[in-house]
Amino acid sequence: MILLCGIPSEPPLARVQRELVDMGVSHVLFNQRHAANSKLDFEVGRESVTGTLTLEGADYELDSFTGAYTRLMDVTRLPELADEPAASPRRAQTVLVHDELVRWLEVTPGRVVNRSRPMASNSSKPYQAQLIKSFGFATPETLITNDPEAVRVFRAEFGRVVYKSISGVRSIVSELTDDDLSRLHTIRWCPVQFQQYVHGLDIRVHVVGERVFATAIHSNGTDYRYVGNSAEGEIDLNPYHIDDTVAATCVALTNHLGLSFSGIDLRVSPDGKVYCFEVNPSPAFSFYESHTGQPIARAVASYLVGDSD
Amino acid sequence: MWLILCEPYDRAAIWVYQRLRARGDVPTELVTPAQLVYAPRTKHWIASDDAGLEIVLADGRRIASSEVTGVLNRMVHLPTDHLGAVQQSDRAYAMEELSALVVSWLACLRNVINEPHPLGIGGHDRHPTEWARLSRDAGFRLGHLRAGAGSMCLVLDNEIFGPPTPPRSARACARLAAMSDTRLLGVLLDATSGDFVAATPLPDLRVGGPPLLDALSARWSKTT
Repeated sequence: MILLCGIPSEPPLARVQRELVDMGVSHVLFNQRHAANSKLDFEVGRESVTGTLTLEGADYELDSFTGAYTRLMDVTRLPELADEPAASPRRAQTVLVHDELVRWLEVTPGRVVNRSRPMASNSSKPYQAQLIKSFGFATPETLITNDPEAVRVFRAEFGRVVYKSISGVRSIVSELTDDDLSRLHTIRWCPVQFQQYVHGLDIRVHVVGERVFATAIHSNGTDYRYVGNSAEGEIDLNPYHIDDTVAATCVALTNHLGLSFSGIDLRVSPDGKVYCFEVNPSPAFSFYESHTGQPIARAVASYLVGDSD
Repeated sequence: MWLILCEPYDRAAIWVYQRLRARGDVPTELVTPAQLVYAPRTKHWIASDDAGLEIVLADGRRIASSEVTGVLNRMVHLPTDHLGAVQQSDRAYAMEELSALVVSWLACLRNVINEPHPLGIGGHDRHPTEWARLSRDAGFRLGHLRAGAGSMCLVLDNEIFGPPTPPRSARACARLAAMSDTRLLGVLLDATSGDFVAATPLPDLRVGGPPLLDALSARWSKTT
């Protein structure tokens, strides 16, 4: 049996669930929004990890779950908790069951897409970039500093420069403009990450186990993820063939990070150099799948039930 | 230069700092998380051919990645005092940014014990259930701690330090450290049975005595 964790209407989770239904695979959904009515107890014994998950009054033996797909959102942001006092039993139970669930996912022997420890590399983009570099991908020249003068020197060297978050907190990648220079002194409070702007074609590579799906993204924005939100934005996504070496590197990098599913952001420069910006450990693949028809959800579902490719 | 990164109250790390500094083999500096976070000038770069950092602390000391050959990393948390006047949402963002930056700083230094992890700047500690699962896979029997019955041994790169440990438990300790990707791990054993009780990447290093200092010194000197 497969355990799905998250909010049922969330597109990636909904797509994987639909595939499991089509494949006739039995599964259970842990709906975060009903977490206050759930319970999870487990113990690590001398031979195995055993316990029970209770959802809406129904009990499930944990060792019956052979796979799990998690798309858990930040529990503190659940709408159900918005009006709950800080010390309410309902809030406490919701947080507790999430904590227990994440702990169990770390120790269960089944296939988990993905466990929290390997997902954490994406919490520090420059840390992850150092891992990425060791696999042979190029990474943009990067400077993280609280020194405005160092930024001016960096910009003078590379011309076009973008700035973005250091952490896993999502930010809109923006180009450093002349106007920005007048407020550069504010970085003294908190260092900021600046990167050489790299021209080229954006490629999103989804790795599922050993399977690789590459999508080319043509857009007219600095950060294509937000182009669709602007009035003048244009974006076009198509299946793309990446060469075997790049595909194998994507699989090896994903495995090295301890992930079974990843979304890797590449950009191929006009001279053919392949830059890697980051490895997303919980990719919102539905955006790419809906534009291209690439069967990513089916691949995830197949991986969960134990298919090797 | 050897760096001891620790909280100001970390007596075990301060013990290492004082002993290594007294030996005088290599310049050794103790730096707290607050000194790092409040550094007036920091540069961290990731270039096509290398990654590095240069930090000038408020007291004038300078840390350059090219000069650091060994690091004892015992940091637990980063200070937030300087963000007190910032809006709550911005403060949370700034803390995420600082934490992510410090992890990357440490990742570009040579011979860091213990290496940082985004889930813990001083190395990734784990929930007791995770340690239990790993220890079982490492070959331990799971034990229960009886008051006063624990015995802490240290593992540094497959080598055991501390009180005498039964060979079977010592081998399991080394496997546990390797499986948890932790170069320096403290393992609490039941002193009678040798069964696993708990583990931590932030053990009391004084248990290791001079042999541990010799081992740290030897590892950090390899790149001097």
